[in-house]
Amino acid sequence: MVRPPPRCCVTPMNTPTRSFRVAAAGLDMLHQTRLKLACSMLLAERMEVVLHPWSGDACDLLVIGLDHPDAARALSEANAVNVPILSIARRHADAAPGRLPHGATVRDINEQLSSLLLAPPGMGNERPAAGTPLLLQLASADPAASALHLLQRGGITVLVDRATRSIALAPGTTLAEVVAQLDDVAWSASPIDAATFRHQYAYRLPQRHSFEALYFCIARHRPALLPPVAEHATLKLRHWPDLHADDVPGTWLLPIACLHARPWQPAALAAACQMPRHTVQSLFCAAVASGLALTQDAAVPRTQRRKDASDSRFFSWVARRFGLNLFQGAQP
Amino acid sequence: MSLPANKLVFVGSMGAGKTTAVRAISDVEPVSTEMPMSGDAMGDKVETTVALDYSSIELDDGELLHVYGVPGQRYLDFMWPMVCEGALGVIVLVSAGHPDPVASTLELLEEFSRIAPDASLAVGVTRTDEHPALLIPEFRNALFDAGQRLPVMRVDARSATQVTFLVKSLLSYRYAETN
Repeated sequence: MVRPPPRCCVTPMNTPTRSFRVAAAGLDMLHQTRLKLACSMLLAERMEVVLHPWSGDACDLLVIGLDHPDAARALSEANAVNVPILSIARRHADAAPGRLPHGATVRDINEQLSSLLLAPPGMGNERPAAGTPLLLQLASADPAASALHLLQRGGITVLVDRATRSIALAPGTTLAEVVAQLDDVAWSASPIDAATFRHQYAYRLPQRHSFEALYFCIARHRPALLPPVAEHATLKLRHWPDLHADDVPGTWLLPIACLHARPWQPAALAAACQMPRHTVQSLFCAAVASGLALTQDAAVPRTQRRKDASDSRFFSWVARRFGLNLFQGAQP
Repeated sequence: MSLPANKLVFVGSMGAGKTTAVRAISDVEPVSTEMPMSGDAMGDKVETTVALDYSSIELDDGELLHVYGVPGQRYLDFMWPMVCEGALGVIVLVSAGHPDPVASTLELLEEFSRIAPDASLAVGVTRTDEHPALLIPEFRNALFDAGQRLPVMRVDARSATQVTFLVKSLLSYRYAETN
């Protein structure tokens, strides 16, 4: 009997939760219930599974009962859209990757789900090199090369537009969701021309986010995915980054404002803003990755405003009212 | 002794979201001078501010931060100096659907830099969900090329969280620039 290799027993708590969409078709009540239980148990591995009936749309996995009369049609539809399949059937004598015999236990199903959902798909030439997520490879490539790429991973579709340095997402997809699954090996990519995108995908991917916003969102959720920056690097921000309240915590605004005002080293900025050093280091990584970092005090005009002592107390009240505690930090 | 800067001003052209933004962060229902629009309605907008919006936010010791929303139309510019006297910040709101968002924003930034030289400025771009083609970096870089280096960000004026985030950015920027 072939079984998937045993999994590590504990998933670190700092591993981001990954979301998956699993469809079910042709399962009897017994297997449907066991599938639900098996899906819920994946949360222990920080895998969140949304289970829904098979609709013919792309998803991460189809669990199908082959003994059902409608199974053949669902199987054919799934194959047409390259959805991986876990089949359960009386004719399967033993378990094997992608197949289970009738009467499979919750544990059997759970193990298959885990290995199939995390398994790399058969992909073409654009499979990412180890270490750098595919989306980031495309984002950092020469803009003159094929400008539009469509990335897909299960139910998530992302357009990477190198010409405008942006990505397009479906209405319900957040940047944080994309970032959480950025290093998943199951992403596939294909170049797409502008006309095809406009006619077939633009209406499905109406949200636009700049690469800058993406890099700062990565800095918040998956900083290890950004290229590292030397611990003693000194840099300043060329511009105020494209930040959004959903993707960046308000506590980051003070160090960002400081980096916008003048050059800093990570240790000094962390101390001045009373922030963890690794958080500030993540900001530096995002600044460099997004192209906003100036490594020397280049010719960017600085607006030096008059410091009025009478304003300080009132200003501190205003800041506190909006949730900022500016006067404990950022004193150079 | 001069009074502390105790005003926050939102300015922008019609439909930019000034009234909505003031309402989103106010402690009390703003006093507004909204009237039914006489011309073509803009989407679901059926009223427009003909003078200004005013509200306040209570701070420690009962002090008030006065919050204003003022129209960016030239024929109402006589009220800009009055409102901006003692402003700590001016937030220019611009709709991503504006036919020329860069020019209209620059005009307001230049005008309010002159009127309120001690105020800090920031820009909030609204309605980006309806007009996703406008990307912040490109827009911000165009402002920079014209001499404006300041916080520029997307904001949904209906969201207190997002308007607060924009105000926090302005305050952090002001603090960093003066220390």
